[in-house]
Amino acid sequence: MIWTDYFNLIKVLPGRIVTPRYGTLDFGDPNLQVEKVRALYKDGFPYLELTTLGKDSLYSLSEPEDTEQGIEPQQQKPAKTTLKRKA
Amino acid sequence: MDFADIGKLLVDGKNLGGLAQRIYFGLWNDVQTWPVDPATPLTLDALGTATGELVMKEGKRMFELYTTEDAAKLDINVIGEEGGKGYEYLLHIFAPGLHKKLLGFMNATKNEDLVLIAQDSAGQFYLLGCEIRSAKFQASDASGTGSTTDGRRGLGMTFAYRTHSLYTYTGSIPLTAAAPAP
Repeated sequence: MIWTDYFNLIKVLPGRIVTPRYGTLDFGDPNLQVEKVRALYKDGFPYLELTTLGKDSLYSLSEPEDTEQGIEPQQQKPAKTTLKRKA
Repeated sequence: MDFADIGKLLVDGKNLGGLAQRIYFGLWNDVQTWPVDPATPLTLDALGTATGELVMKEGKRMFELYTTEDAAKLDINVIGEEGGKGYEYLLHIFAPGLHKKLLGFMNATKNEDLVLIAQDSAGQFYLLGCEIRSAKFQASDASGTGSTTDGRRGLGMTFAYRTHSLYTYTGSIPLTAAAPAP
């Protein structure tokens, strides 16, 4: 699986973005590490949204970790990206 | 906002000076949304950090400019009279060579409203430009061919930006064009 299976790039065309956490990343590169992209998303990076697969497979599995760190994946995202957490 | 004790605060003793060898620039008019002042900051850290992201208008992006190692610096000066103090950033860079693209950059920016972002050796970013005020080309220093063969060709440029407060910029820098709204 590649990062674009879990995340959509939004608001910009595929290409380079200087990120606070990892420096310059090329979002036209399908080989970006999923964990890096996921960490950016959790930071509130404005150019990512979860795909349906991303919602189901990434966050449903990692809920305890997110809760421990006090990180709400959707906290800086618009309502349309709000995650459906499993009970 | 409460004051707090301020210690040495160096991470693992690191405190290298200077700027990274890439400066980011764009047109002030091409920015869609700007980072803003921290809202009701409760800590000194919060009062030193701008909030939000620099987002460009559709089809627009930020660009990179290479600068020679140890030839770029960011000065922070206090300006204004008593009761009206503020700050002026002065970003000095030296771009090597006198190639056409570089000359064109200087021609294009000398009277233009700009936004610039510089990164220091600790990885911290500084944004020159805000919603109400742009960065401006101010001066050219040590530009030209040099006078001896052990000198260097290139353009030295200084950009200025005045602001009421000093903030770090913690957002991202889009080097790819903003997409049309869906």
